[in-house]
Amino acid sequence: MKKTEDIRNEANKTLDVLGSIRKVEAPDNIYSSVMDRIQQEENDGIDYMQFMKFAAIGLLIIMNAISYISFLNEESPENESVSTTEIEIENLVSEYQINTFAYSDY
Amino acid sequence: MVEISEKVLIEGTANGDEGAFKLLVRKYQNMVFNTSLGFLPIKEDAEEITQDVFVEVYKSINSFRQDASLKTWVYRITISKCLEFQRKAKRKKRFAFLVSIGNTSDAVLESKTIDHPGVDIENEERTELLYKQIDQLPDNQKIALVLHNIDGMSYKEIADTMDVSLPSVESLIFRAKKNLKKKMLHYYEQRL
Repeated sequence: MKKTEDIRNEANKTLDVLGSIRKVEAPDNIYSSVMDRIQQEENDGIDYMQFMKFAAIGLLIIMNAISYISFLNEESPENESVSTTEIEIENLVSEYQINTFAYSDY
Repeated sequence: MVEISEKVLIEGTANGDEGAFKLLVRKYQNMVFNTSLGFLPIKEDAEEITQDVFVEVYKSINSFRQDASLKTWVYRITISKCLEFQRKAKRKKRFAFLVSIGNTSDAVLESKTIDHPGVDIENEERTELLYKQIDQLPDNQKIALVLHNIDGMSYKEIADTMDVSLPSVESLIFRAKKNLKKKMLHYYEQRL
C-alpha cells in the first residue's frame, strides 16, 4: 500500500515539473546567425550553379570530341588499313618479281 | 514601441527588405526559441532550430498564403522543424548504437540530454525524465501537450495552429496527460 502511494507521489511530483519550466529569452545573435546562413546558402547556390554550368560545358566539349573522333573513324580507318595492306602486298609482289627476275637471269 | 503590422513585415520580407525581416525575427524569436525548448530541452539544439525556422520563413514568405496569421504560420514551421530534428536525432542515435556494437568505447552513446535554461537545477532529473516520456507520445498528442502545458497556449490557439477543431484539442490534451501519467507510474513501478 505504502509503495503504491510512493509511486503515485513520485509520478505526480515529476508531472508537476511541467508547470515549473520557465520561459527564457532567445540569444541576441539569432538575426545575425540567420542572415549568415542565408548568405552562405545563397553562395552555395551560386557555387552550385557555376559548377553545373562548367559541368554542362565540359560535357558538351566531351560529346563534340567523341562525335568528331567517330566521324574521323568513319572517314579513314578502313581506307587507311586497306592502303596499308595494299602497300604491303605491293611490296611483297615487287620483291617477288625482283627475286624471280634475278633468279631467271642465272 | 510602435507596433508594425504583420502585413508590413510580410510584404517587406517578401520584397527583400532586411529591416522588415529583422523586425520579424525580433518579434518572434522568443516564441520560436521557447517552443523549440518545449520539444528539445537542449539550448544549442533549440538555437539551431530557431535559426532553421527563420531561414525557412525568409525562403518561403512568398508562398505564405495568409489564410492564417503570421504567428500561426511561424508556429507551424517551428513545430515541423522540431519534429524533423527529433526524427534526425533518433536516427543518429540508432546509427551511433550500431557503430558502438563494433566499438569497445561507450563514448559514442554519451550525449547531453538536458540543458534547458528555464529549468531549476533541482528539477533537472525529473525534467529529463518528463521529456523522455513526452517524446514517446504520438506526434499530435505531443504537440498539443507542449503547446498548452509548456508554451501556455490556449486551446483555441492550438486548434488554429494544428488546424483541428477545439474538441479535438481537448481530447488530444486529455489523452496526452493520461498516457503521460501511465508512463510515469510504470516508470516508478519499475524503480521503487
